[in-house]
Amino acid sequence: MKYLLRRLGYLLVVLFAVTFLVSVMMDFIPGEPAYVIIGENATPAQIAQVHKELRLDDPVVTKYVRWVGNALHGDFGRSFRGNQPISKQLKQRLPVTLELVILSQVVALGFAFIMASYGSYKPKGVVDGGATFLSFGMISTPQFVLALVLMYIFGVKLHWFPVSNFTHITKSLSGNLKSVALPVLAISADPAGVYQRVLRSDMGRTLREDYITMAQAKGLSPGRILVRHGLRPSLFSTTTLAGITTARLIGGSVIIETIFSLPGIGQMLIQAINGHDYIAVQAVVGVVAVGYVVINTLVDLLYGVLDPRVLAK
Amino acid sequence: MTIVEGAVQAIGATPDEEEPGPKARRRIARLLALAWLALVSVLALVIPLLPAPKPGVSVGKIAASPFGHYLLGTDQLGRDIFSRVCWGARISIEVAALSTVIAFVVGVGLGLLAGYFRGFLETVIGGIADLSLAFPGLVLLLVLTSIRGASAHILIIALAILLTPTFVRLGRANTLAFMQREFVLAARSLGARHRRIMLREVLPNVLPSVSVYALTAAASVFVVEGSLSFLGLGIPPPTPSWGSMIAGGQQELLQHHPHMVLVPSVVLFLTVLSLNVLGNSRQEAGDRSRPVGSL
Repeated sequence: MKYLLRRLGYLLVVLFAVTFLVSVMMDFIPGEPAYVIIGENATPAQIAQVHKELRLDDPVVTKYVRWVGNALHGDFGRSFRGNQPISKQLKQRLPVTLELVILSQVVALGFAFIMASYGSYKPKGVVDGGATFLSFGMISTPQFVLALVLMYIFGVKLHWFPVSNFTHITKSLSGNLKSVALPVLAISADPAGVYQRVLRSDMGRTLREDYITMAQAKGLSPGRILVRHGLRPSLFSTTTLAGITTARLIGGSVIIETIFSLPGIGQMLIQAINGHDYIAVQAVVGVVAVGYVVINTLVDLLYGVLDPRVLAK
Repeated sequence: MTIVEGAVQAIGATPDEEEPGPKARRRIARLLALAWLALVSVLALVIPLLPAPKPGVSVGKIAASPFGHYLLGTDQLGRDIFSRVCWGARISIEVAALSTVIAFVVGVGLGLLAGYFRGFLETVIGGIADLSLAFPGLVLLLVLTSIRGASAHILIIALAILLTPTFVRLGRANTLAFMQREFVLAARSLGARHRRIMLREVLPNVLPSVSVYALTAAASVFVVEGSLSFLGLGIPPPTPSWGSMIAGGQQELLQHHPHMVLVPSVVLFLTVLSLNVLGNSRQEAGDRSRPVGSL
């Protein structure tokens, strides 16, 4: 319990430090927000008016404290462009990114579980060798290269999947799945390769333990040994990795969202930065940082499930 | 690859290598990787001397297919792709090499100090490194480029900042492990100064295992440099880089001229693959000296 509280405290410090750093950085970005709001022809009087209304001239710390206070109430301010509440934009865009992240993690972990389990069941066989080879290739393929190649083969040549039109999940489930299939594949290849390698090597180590020999001696079926005895103790590194990767992907799907023009928060981030809309940038980074903390806390809790000794310490 | 690669290093989970296949096959893979990297570097070095068209000049024929009159074809503006790939290699290699070297020197230096002196210094350096691993790297890159405008120098600095924390962690972890060894104790009992122990006893042992990661890190820089081109934040035109060539050909891909994207993509893929193959084999070779656990 003490361990969990300490971890949680540490993660909260990370949360505040990251959001604070970003608000400091945003202060360094050149460009006059008033121009973004009113237009290039803003008069000095109008600029002063905007500064007064948005309290832009306050010190960074004051602005940050005010931002945190509002953010805790779910109020991220209004976008410089279009004067839309940012929370509304987030509400529309976050599900898109989360769908991408979750689906690609499911694909990646699924690949790793199957390949690593079968690979350690029949080590150095065709499947094991093939999976290791494939994983190495997937790790070495840049995400955007894979995205373009998939787009060319399955979008342009075969017309199986749309190249850029995003269908919202509320409109049509199959249409939605079709429009995220290629992006999900492009995102999941690299983590899948890494998970496979890590899990395979951890499984190999676990399967040399005495209790595995014991389980074999009892006459348990190989499948049961692999899943019940082998998998769980081997999941530590993979769980940690999956946690960190998931957290990073929330903000790291920018390139894929750009290539496939998906309306997620990555796209929002890039538009906000290009438009000097630093209120929106701060909101997205805040969400990403919260995601990082939540996921890492969940991973810490999972350790307890994987190995109860962690909590007893 | 950068995202997960960073994560792997962050938790110190280096898969131990049980690659199937005989040793000879792995040696061939290593030789091929070396040969490819050598070919690319040599072409990048000598391209100004070759009688190839300049990278910004149109040779007349637009979107020519590869293996015809032009070795790798021409792009949407009629520029020779072979020449652009070679010129692009110069800038892509420069960015990857310099940012990795800066991060390596700074990171290992700080990690060595943190691991050697422990205490407050370690808390501060370790804390900063932890924090920057949680920081969205893309935001840093975007902010730096929007302040100073995209250029090779800004890219190198930004990427070096992003790579440093992992080198700090690795450097510190390895220092901690070697500090327990008898030869350090021996040096200390002989009255060696801190500087001598750090530089002559600990550092030479730390270097091999960290340089393995440097190859992987360099591979990831190639990828990030390319990714940024998609966001309009990479090396600005007209300078060709692999990333900007791939990003620039994106539209043409959909109009059935895939070679403009595929040629630089294959070159980039082979380079990243080669660096990973070498990084991997160095890891195997370094295993004997590698300390237990790298967290």
